[in-house]
Amino acid sequence: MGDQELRVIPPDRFLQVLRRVVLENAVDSFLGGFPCGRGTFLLLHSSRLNRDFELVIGDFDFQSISSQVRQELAL
Amino acid sequence: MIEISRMDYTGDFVKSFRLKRGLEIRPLWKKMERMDPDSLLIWAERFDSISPVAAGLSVAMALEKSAKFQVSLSNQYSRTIAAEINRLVWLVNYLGNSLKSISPEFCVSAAFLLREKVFATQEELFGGRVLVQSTKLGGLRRGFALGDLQKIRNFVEQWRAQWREWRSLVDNDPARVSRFSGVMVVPPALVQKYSWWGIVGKSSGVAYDSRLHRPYGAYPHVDFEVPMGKNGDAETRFQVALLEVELSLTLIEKLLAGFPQASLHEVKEVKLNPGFYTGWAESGSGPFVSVLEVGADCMVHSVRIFSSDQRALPLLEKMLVGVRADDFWLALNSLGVSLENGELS
Repeated sequence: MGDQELRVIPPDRFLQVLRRVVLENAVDSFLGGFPCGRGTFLLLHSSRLNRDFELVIGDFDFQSISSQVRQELAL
Repeated sequence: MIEISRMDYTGDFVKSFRLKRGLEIRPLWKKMERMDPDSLLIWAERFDSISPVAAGLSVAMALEKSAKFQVSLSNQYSRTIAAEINRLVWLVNYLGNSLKSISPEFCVSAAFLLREKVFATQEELFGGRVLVQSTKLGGLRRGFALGDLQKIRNFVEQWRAQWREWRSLVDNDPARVSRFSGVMVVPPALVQKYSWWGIVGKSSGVAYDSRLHRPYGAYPHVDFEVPMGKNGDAETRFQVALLEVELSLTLIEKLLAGFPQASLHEVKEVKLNPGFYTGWAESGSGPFVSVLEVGADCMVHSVRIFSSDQRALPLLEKMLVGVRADDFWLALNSLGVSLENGELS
């Protein structure tokens, strides 16, 4: 868990960053997300590493971002 | 609580059904924005009325990280005892509802009587019967006095005697076992994919439990193992829930035995630091993971609590298609999913 001030990912780099995080850390689950002050907050989980990953995307279209995450993780 | 608005059958099997919408729509998140930390903790418990302590504790942990506040060891012990007492509510409620699915008479009222006894103890110790409101920043709203520790010992002893009597009636009852066996098997791959932790995960061979895997509170100071099964059916979930009750009682006893000398650690003033903070606590249905967003004005801008229920709820309308109509309520209730803290589209 980071618990630090997170870097906001620009919307046009979102999928690129997401794919890298998923691949490098064997992320297999999407714990949840919500629209926050600076865009959309996502909480991902890797059961292999027993670790959570936090991302903040600088875009407020929460539904669209969530559905792209689910698609990437084949949920 | 789960309600169905429509159900269609093909012969003896469920063809389709629709969960009742509306119960899951709650204005809680909006309400909690920009609240002061103490009020926030009281409201956080409303996230799940069966597991309010876990909900409050997960948010308290996130707030304490933001305030860079270290909770004293004795307060960690007190909170962990409160959380384990409260876990008994979810567990006996789950066991009672599972039995109710096959017969309204079969030891159901005795299960709910056990639940009532936990409610009475919570009221006596913390002031709140159902919504316990025990957690405050840095500890418990009402810290334990020496007499309270003895009260808890007495509660465990008496409650366990009644529990064992009840358990002996249901544990190996052949009619019950035959009804529960093989119903609603959840494969481990589905558990991993949706992080469907708690009773469901443990019964399918995924023994994820935040008390062990994300150590917090006083759990790192006690030795324990979480129960696990592998068949993933309603019977395995029932057996795991029975073992979870035994584990909670044992944990309370161990925590009481190792309870440290009280050290005063009152929180006078809290200043939150901007950023995102997470906290977690194990409920019967798995860990609640809280996320707080604290803005540059040092106020809480957003709060969310994520649960296994939220992730599993959208799956139910597909998962239960093809289940025997006679087994429908058992299949559904054996998953222990609550509509209360879920989200449906």
